Amino acid sequence: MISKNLDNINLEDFPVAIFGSGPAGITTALELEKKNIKCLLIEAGGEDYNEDSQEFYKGKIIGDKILDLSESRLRQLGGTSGHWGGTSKPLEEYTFELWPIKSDELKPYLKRTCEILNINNQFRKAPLSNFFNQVEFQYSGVKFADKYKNHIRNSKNITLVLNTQLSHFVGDNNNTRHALCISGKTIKNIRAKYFVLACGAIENSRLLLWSKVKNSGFLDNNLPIGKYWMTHPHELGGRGLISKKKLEEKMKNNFLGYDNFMHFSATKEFIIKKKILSASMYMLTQDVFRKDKIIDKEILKDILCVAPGYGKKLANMDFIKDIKCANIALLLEQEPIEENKVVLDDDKDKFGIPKVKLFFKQTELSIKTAKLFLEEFADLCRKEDLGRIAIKDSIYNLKKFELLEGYHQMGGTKMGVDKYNSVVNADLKVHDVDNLYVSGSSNFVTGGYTNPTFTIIQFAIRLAEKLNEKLGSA
Amino acid sequence: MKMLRRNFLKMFITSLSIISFVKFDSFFSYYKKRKLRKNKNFIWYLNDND
Repeated sequence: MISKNLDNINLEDFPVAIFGSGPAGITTALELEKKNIKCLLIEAGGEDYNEDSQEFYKGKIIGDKILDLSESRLRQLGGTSGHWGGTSKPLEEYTFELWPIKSDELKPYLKRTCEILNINNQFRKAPLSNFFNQVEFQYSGVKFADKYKNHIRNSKNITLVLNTQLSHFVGDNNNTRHALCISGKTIKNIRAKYFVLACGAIENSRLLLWSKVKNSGFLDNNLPIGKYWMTHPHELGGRGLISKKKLEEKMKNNFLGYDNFMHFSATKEFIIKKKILSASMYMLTQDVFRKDKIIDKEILKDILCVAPGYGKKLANMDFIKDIKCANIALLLEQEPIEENKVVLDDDKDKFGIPKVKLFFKQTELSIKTAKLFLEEFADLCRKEDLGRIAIKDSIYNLKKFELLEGYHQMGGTKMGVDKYNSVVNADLKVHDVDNLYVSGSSNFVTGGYTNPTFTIIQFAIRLAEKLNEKLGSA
Repeated sequence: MKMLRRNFLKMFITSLSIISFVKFDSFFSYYKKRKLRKNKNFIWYLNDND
């Protein structure tokens, strides 16, 4: 069922209370429902987009420029999936090297994640060289509110309550007693056996930090809450042209296709050899960064200007069918550093909860990664005559990125083995608190180059399994 | 003995010629000299005969 507030809800009735109705929260609720476990799903926003609701997401950014925090997140049913692009892929195996779990542990949830996202369970990888793979993504059109609203409305096991803000958790002796929530003008305590915080990478940190302030001794002082925040530097890195025929000749039967985005990622060998972070690029045939579509002409003019000899060779090729002119967008990893963090601001929102200050600086290593990655690709293309690539001069000169987006927010409640370096364990349980779990990309240890939502859902399914085991054993 | 030596030399020379034929192309492409040219805000990575 769906309720617009907490009035008339029997709050003693739920073994699990989940805060946040984005992909992480809804997925765990759906999986618990299948196991016949009741859950209370709390959403701070309403059913649809609302500017007053978005006001709560305003915060300060200190350091390098990044997308406004109230634009990059949605405080409504379905969470930020309301405006995501749907680009989906599991994380690479090597991304898990610093995590307390390995990628194999998430494989059992691949199929179900694809079902939830309405995508094919196909993520092929084809070698282009020792340093590059062509990789396949799937594109989901699922907005969680649209897909699951009616299902939840008719559900007997899921009770979704809208317009209800979690303020903080109250607990002692390694146990969360209740969650204090504000619903309209009333304040209510929600009690459950297990609590799941799934409000997004910034909000998870904010609400845990506030819980720590409100209950001294409840959350361990050593927990690095808010720290190691990450995004994916997403940057227009260059432009160029590629010959389809020559790519196919080089990759033989492995070539994955050419018509949509063509993604290439760095291999583990490349990352180790050049000491860079993981990185990927995709070629856009249409210039999505500007409304006009004159990119092909522009690139061809450029190449004729800088390389007339090569231009003549191009004139002899079957232009339309064979040559792909494109802007190159980079999607890079940003290494987790302690200084990039979410902290509580002195400014408070309407409910008296401190807003956030996000400290963010681009790192030299991610800037260096962009240059080395593109340079290696450009050299491969010219040496093997696959095409010609140009790198944006700011990247060539190792200047800071002009980030295109800031929607991929990760870290802040990092997963790990001990409370000195991480906030949650491999089961997503907060260290030293028996019944408090955190779900979402805030738990990511490293970001890889892959969009985070697919992995968020895999973890959310796994969390439901863990909760089911706990409730069964209880 | 002479026969053996002749056969060995024949095989050696044949395999050398095959190896040089196979490797020649990649050897040649690998050492294409890089030439950089700036146009607008982009640095083009070109071969020197481009």
